Amino acid sequence: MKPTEHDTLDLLLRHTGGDGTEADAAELSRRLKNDPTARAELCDLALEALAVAEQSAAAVAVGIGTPVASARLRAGWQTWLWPLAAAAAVVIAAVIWMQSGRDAAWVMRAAEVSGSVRWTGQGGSIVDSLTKDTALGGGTVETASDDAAVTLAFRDGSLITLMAHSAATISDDGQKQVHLREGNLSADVRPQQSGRPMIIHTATAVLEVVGTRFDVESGAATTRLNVDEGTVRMTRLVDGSTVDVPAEHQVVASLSRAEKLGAVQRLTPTLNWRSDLSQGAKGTDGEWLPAEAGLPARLKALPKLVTPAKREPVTLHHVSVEVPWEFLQTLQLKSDSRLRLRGRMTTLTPVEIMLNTKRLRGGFAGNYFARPTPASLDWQLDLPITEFRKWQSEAGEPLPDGLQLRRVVIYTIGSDAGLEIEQVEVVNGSTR
Amino acid sequence: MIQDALLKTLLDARLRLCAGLWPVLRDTHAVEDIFQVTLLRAVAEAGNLRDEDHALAWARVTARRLAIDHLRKHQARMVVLDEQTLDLLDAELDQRGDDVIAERMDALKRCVEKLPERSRRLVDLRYHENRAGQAIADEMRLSLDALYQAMRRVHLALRQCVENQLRHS
Repeated sequence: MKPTEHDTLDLLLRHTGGDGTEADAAELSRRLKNDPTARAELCDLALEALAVAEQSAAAVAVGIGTPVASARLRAGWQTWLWPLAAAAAVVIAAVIWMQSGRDAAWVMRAAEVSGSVRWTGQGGSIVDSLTKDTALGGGTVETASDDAAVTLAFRDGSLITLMAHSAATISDDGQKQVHLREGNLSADVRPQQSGRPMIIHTATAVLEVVGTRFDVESGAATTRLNVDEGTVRMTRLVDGSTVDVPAEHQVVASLSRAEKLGAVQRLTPTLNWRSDLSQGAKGTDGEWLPAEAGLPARLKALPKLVTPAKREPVTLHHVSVEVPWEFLQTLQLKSDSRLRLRGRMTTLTPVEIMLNTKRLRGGFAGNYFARPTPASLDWQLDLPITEFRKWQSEAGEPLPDGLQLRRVVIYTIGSDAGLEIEQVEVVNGSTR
Repeated sequence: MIQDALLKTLLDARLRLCAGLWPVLRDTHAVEDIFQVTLLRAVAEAGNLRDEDHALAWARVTARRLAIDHLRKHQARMVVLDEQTLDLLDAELDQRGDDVIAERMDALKRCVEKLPERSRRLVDLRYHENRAGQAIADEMRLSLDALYQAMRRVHLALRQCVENQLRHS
């Protein structure tokens, strides 16, 4: 059929359905430019598409957590669609709610806040520096700095914690839903109502939580789940495969269908770990420099502007090294553990070191700081873990025994001191 | 603009902005994602946006640019209406206004609920699950021509239903 033989609606449907030819597109473009009724047809079609999507998303959202939805999951029937639609419905619902501008009862409160935490809530209201005990409705929370962390407490006592560079949209209309866009989330979830589990959406997976403790790390291509207590059902979006992850187990959902989705038992605890920057920049922040001219692979500190609450902005030059996932759940800091760093700088200045930690049984345990000054420009630091304090203060709480290390952040404050880090290592006191 | 006022402006115009994006993206989830990203960028840009008109114009340009980037990343074959045509569509939506669009949307949603099961399934596959025509034709066991004839009938039925609803409201 020649393009001109289609009426405008038919041309529009084929074009938007991906089946129009270039000749169709040219004919469509000509009609849209010259004929106001053609433009009205396309506007109507766009609204019809949006109406269908919103109605269907809302219907799916209502069905989430019901036996029907679970049955769909198990059958693998287009399973990647309903979580996406549900996420869309959450966003749409949030937008509609924001538009309404009405007061709503709080559904959670900020139980702990540190660092830069932004909240976008109802009415589009934005709180740049969220403070402890603020009551919140549904909305989006972002932790926007290395030392940032926020613990949100729901009315039933369930806790979720976001830390470092993470963002999540959260709602609770009788069923808790978390859309983790990126980053790390720890949760301690009280038993949920039958048929209304907490749902956590990530880019690659959906988690159904009835009541348990766990950690999730969400990236663009993978979701890593570690369960401390209870059981979490994970559904991989790419193919709808599901796995029930029991306590002391972990699993990774990627975009690869070829990888079998299976939970593996956590490794036995370990007390020693050493970074390996020769393998690339994975899990790090900073400019990765390859080995060259007699120098090993290393991370060069990059500048970052930080605006602490009610204080003037400061410039940091920072790098960070994340403990790899295979060590993350097993590496323990004991009272005789030591942190060893090897690095260099062009200007001698104090080095700020932050340890981001979690509790052995799940949940964010705080950031701990030390501020040594290296003895020379080419330096190695060997610091007892007991020297680290909470809140960058010597009077602060010392790092308790038995926490797990997530990430090490190293930075200088003010002008660029040319900081470069070659190695980060945790050793047990008895290790040389 | 102060952030609250900016967000209210953009949220009030959500349907208008999204309807203008859909002909570019042809994927309702992508439309929602791009709108959300545009909101976040607008918040960061609030200090540079003078008033509602400026904010809406900025949001349109930004959203369209994000949409084109999205297509470049996700589609091997990209057929996009030219800028002038898209501007004319935006003008058509502006002429209708947010209230009229919202009223039509409400009526549409009621009409979508009244569709026969097979018709609903068809538009659901296309606009909610965002499947391409051929994939829907395969699932519904139709030829491509038969699929588009069926879709045409569903859209005409929806429009008839909407006109009836609006006439009696």
